[in-house]
Amino acid sequence: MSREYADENKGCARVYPCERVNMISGIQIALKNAIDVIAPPVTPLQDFIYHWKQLMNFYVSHLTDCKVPVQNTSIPRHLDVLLDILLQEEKEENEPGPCLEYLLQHKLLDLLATLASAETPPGMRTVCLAFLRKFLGRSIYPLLHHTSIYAPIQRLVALCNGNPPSPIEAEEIQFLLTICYLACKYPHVTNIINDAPIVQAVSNPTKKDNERTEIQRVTYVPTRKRINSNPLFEPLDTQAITLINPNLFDKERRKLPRSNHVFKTTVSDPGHLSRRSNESVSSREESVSSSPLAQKSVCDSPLLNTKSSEQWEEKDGGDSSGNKIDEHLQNLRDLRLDTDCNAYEDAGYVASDNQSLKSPNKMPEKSKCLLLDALLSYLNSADNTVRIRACEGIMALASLKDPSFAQTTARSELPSIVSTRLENLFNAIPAHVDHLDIYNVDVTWGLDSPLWTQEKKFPGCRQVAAFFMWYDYCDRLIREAQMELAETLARTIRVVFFERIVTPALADHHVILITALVAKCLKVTTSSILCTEVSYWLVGQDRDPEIPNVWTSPVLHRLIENCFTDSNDLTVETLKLFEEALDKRNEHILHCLVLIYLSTRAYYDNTAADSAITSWSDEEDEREKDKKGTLDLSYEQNYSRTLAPSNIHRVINCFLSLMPRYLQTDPDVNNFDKYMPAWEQQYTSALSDCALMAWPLEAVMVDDSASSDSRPEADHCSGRFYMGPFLSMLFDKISNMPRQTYEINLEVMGLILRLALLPHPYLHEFLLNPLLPLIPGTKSLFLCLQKVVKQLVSEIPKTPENKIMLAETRQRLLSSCPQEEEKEDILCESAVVTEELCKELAGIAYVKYHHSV
Amino acid sequence: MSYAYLFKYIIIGDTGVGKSCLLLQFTDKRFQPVHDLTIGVEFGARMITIDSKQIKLQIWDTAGQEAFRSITRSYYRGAAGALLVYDITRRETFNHLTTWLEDARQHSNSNMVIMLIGNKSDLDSRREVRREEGEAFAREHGLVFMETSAKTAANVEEAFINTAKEIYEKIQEGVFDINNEANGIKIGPQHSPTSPGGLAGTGGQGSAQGGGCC
Ligand SMILES: Nc1nc2c(ncn2[C@@H]2O[C@H](COP(=O)(O)OP(=O)(O)OP(=O)(O)O)[C@@H](O)[C@H]2O)c(=O)[nH]1
Ligand SMILES: [Mg+2]
Repeated sequence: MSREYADENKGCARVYPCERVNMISGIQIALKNAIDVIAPPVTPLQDFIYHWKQLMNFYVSHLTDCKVPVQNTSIPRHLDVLLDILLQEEKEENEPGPCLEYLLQHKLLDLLATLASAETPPGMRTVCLAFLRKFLGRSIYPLLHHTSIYAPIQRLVALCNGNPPSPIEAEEIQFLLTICYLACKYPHVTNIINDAPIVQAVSNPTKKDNERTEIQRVTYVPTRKRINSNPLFEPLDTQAITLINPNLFDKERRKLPRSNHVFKTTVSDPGHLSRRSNESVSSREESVSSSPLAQKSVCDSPLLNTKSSEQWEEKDGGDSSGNKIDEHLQNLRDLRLDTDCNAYEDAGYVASDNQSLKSPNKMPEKSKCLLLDALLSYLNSADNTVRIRACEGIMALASLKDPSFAQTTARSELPSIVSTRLENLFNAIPAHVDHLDIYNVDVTWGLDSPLWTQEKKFPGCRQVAAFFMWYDYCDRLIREAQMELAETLARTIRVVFFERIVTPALADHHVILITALVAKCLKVTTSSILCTEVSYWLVGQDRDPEIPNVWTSPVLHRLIENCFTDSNDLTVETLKLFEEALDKRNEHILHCLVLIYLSTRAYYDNTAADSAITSWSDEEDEREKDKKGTLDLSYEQNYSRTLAPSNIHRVINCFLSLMPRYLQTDPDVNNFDKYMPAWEQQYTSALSDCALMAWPLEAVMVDDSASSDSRPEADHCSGRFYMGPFLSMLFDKISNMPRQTYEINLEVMGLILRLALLPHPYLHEFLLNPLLPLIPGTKSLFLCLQKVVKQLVSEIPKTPENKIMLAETRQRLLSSCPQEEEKEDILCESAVVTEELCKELAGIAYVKYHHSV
Repeated sequence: MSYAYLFKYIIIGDTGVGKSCLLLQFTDKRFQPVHDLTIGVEFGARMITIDSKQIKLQIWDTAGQEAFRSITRSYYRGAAGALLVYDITRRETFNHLTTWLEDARQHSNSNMVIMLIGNKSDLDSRREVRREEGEAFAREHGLVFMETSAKTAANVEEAFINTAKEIYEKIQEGVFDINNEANGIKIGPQHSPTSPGGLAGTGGQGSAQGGGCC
């Protein structure tokens, strides 16, 4: 007997078509012998076949009763062994071994998929998914392009649907994620997971040719892995087509008598028995026809087995028992179809069994991404882990470097589902959430999921966290996605979420909370593509200046109006939103909010330039004369002279002396050095952030050449200077400082300082050069501050004990530990803020000067 | 269970270097001999004690496979610590460290503590990367370094705990803003400070960007 085995081993080592007949009948004998002595099979292949048949045996002996939970059967154990054998084989051979070939050739996975769809016995689906996940995930071969692998995989993917939630969603999502992994690892298989060819190929005969070339494409094996000696690993596997298109198979088969021959004569070929029945029942689908169920297991009990295996050989010609099992399975399937509302469920079967069943409504061409659709259906899962896994899978697919796949995903439902979820989570935030709590919610999509579900920091914090986790995911997804998908995603989020939901909400009575939420969204946005879309929402896409009092950007209009309501909170939150907008250092936002209005330099008074030698150019000429020879001229080209006026000390002095001595509370009067290091650092980052914005280096008249010699050119700036709605609002707020709360003043100050820091020559001279000659009637920051100081000077001395009050106010505002509520005095608070603002401005002017010389 | 602080970690590095094994050894004190490749990101947690304070570690074990790099990247943000692992028996995993480090630095918050780990120290006979090379790399890039074995558990505890100590010190030094959870640190429920509010709080926020008016 042992000798016999040794011979068999040789036969089994490689399965070539011509040898198959011998080999397989050999196995028969071997198996029979094995059974006779109840000895374990010897070669891995025999072992493999043994366990497979044992597994199948369950179905033979449970034809009518499949109610036993799968865990109580031997099925999981056999599958574990099958997996072990397959993986062990991979380790030992350096090319696909006989067990893998057996699995491919005999379409084992196809049968497993059928059993999984039928859930026979109960729990079978989980077990099958786990088996496939482990097998495909661990196999070193790119197997997915084989029809006998990808067709069942497609069916299983289509079975996975998280909506309505499935009790085995954890296993389903893990399976899907594994397929994602394979798709990312072997990008040439994306077509497989991408389209749903089962449905298309069978239902649409005109597509046959396309399908075929498609298959030729997908069955391509990378040359590195190609094994020429093995027909299974040929680039085009003719048998592979059969699962997609049975008719094609018939044709192919006639052309390929050899493979036909194999089917007819190999006893152990599980397909062969039912193949016959298949021919009589013309359109029975492949997966059933190839069912190894048709065979009775040899190994149920040793005594019976010898008999049954004899019977089995006799019955080769008849199809009674095989058909019974087939029918049985078919019934199971039909049953499932009735009860299951899954539109994708067993699509292939419906299509091939009965054309009329395939209603176009039931199978809409909603998207071609089978895998992506499956993943998307889990996004609303109640289970965090499942949801996160779905997110991971989607991100992996989105980042796949395959232009045509990126295009497909961009056209899929992904963008709209992602945006709608954002919308739903936003709407789920309770209106009573305190807007002050929003600022401190810092979550990430992946790391916070286990945390925030139990969190109870403030009422509604879970919903707020859920929203920001999803926003973070959107942001990350856009960052990682391929360009076309990223842009579509961002655009859809703008339209579906910002424009449709947020814009109207800015006028409703929860506007304070809404504003805080949007500000936070801006803050956490890191993807430049998303930022661009949000900027379009915020300031409009139009880059032309607005005409005074004619509003073209509804959102900006609304936000600025919100700054002028009676609500202190709304004003503060809106100013904070602008703060976040400026902090994005987004070219479009800066352009539309501020820069476009200054770019003509229409505020500059040409006529005054002569009399008062204050423009940078004249001053600069003098400085040039003075320093010629000592200065390294190579610097001149890179550094702006506008930002470094030679009269910097006069400029600084203007700011520092604005506040009269007796209103100043800082004991360190003219000292602004202490602000320097922080501004240095911030200016460096501003320079790098703005380096690519193509801003001019110097502030010069736009049409300098035309106006240089003709002096009386007052009307040269034909239109009156308009600084735009944003700066107008800010200057109004500055002028109003003595009458505003400290919180508002602090925000206004923050915004002004942010603008002053930007290395833009026009903005710089407009804000930071009090000596600049301005067209009469033009408001400037310095003029506004002068007005504020004038008011403070006239009013503060009237209040009793104002010196002490001022000192106390300063103490209170600038100390880090909050003290018990003292009497607040708006005037005193404004005085302190104004004093600080002037020093900060002087500090910024100096830092910018310093950087530019 | 209550804790004083919660730290979030990620484990990164090439596939097969032993990331999942390190986590399993740390959380379950077990070793898993077969490479069950991580698909997506796995999660584990354990409580440790530093300075007689209970600290909860939440650890995300990422997939080293190139195919899943986009997912891994998106987990960096919000982590306080990272274990960057290579396999001392496979030089290429050491050679890839620079890429990992660049990725981490680019996508994480700047204070993230990174611990460099040369794993599989039990396989000294198959060593391809000398200990000194690991040390030199760590020194050059300002990382803490350690060789571990997920199999024998050598230095595994230390790797996780020393990273936590480093984070803890940074908190004491005030480098980490513990009120900002984006840093990957959370204060335990009973340790929450009095709610930051009042004028100084507001002012502090303004000054964070505004250059420090206070
Ligand atoms: N001898 C030895 N083997 C180890 C050690 N750590 C891990 N391994 C083995 O290395 C292989 C890979 O370990 P994993 O922890 O799964 O690798 P991983 O880094 O998580 O890989 P990915 O999940 O693919 O990123 C396994 O076979 C482990 O048994 C170790 O310290 N010593
Ligand atoms: Mg792992």
